[in-house]
Amino acid sequence: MASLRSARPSFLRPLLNPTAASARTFTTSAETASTTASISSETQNAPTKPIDIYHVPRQPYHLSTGIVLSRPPLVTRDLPAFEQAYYVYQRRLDQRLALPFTSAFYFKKKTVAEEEYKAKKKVREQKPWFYNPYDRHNGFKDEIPAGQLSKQGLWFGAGAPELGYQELVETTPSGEEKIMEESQSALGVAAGKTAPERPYPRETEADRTGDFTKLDRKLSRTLYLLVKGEDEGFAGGKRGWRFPTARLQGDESLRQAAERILPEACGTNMNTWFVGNVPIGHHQYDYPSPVAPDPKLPHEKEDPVPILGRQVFYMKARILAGQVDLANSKHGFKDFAWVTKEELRKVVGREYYISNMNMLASR
Amino acid sequence: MSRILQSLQGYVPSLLRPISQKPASRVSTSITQVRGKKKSSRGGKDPRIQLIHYSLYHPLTPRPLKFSYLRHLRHWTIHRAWQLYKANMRRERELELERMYNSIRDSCEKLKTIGDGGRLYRIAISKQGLGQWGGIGTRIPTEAPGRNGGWDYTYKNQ
Repeated sequence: MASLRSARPSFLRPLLNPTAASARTFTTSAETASTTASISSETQNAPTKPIDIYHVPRQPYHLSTGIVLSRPPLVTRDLPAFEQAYYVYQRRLDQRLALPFTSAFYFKKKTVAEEEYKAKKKVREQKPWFYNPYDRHNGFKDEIPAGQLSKQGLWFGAGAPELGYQELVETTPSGEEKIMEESQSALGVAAGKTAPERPYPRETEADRTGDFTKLDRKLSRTLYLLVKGEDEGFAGGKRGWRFPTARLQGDESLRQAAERILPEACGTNMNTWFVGNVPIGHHQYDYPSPVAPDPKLPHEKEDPVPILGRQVFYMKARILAGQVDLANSKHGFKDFAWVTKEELRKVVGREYYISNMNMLASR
Repeated sequence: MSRILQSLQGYVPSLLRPISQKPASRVSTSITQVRGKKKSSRGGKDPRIQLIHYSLYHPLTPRPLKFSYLRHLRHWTIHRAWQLYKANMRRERELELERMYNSIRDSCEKLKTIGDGGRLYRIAISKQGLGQWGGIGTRIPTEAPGRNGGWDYTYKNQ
């Protein structure tokens, strides 16, 4: 600020000093030498702080950081019915346009692999979804009538490919059973004890029980952390489910505040990563009644104006492992939940959701 | 090489050809030389080469798709529906990204106005110290969850 003042031409400086300006007239540079003495004496007699035109008064709101802690999806998205039907349609057309499978080229005669292939081929030909494009009489019937997909065993509902995997194991030669047999005999385990490894189901125990504190619920969706606490001055005086929020302390930045608040409030048993320095959303709301300024804070002491409400800036973070632990929470949060965007909409109020919805991912 | 392949087109190993299609006589003085040339370039009685030729030049070839009017209409409808579906998916994704970006921009604009001389704003847009990806434990989405049961709850003490 001092350097800026010295850059201003001297004849402008008197204008910015309101008490001195009224008593002074414009003087030429020749006369400044004679008047400087009188000017300095006047300023000493009436000491006032000059108004700094570059000073913007601090907004009368408490500054807070909120943390949007997300668990990104762990499995691929659920395919809608239309997409699944389209893929079946395209697969049938592709079968019509491909050369027939020459098994003799891939499976040598009188081998174990060929036997497995022949056995599985028999199973495949009995399946309701089996289609032979080279059948002279029925090769043209590649379409499946509407609503018949699940009856033909081609659609198992959204998000259940493990049932399709079962059919795949029954009809596709892979040599896995033989490998399992050999490994079992080598290890001394009785034959037939273990089946070929299958993928784990996409719907977990947490989905069935509907436990909102679990992180392996809704694996194909993003989950966001919400906490419930009795924070003074929550929107409209209501206490409810919110993103973990707390006020800034000292001269820390938004990211520093977020990195401090998260372990304080939600425990240290989480491996998290804060994405960048930029806030992804903001929310301003008023307290039910204005709050007195705190003299301990320098900017509130300087401008002792009653604080009208709160400005929250949200920082984005991801959880990589671990779980929330509210045992020694310093911010008084009592409960937590991991929710999808739709569930969040139901739980928080309309106004809060509208301020937040644009920064959240829908999947 | 291509001339040899052309001459071999339509050849089916005798073992796999139906009996009725086998030629009555293989011996003919006028074409002995040509037949002999074909046999040697086909590998004679080598079954591996016979198999390769059978796979590549299968007697059954896919029939070209010939649709009736209504069948063609159904196909066209499905194609149009899929194009529409994909276009909508793309548009939704673009709009969501735009909304997220606007939210970031509006928050930064708000930060400028809080009255600290733009200090917090400058820190927010500063790229110092950034550039390394810190999400090393992130799991890439797969068709099915992993063996550990979907989530590692055992992580302790950050």
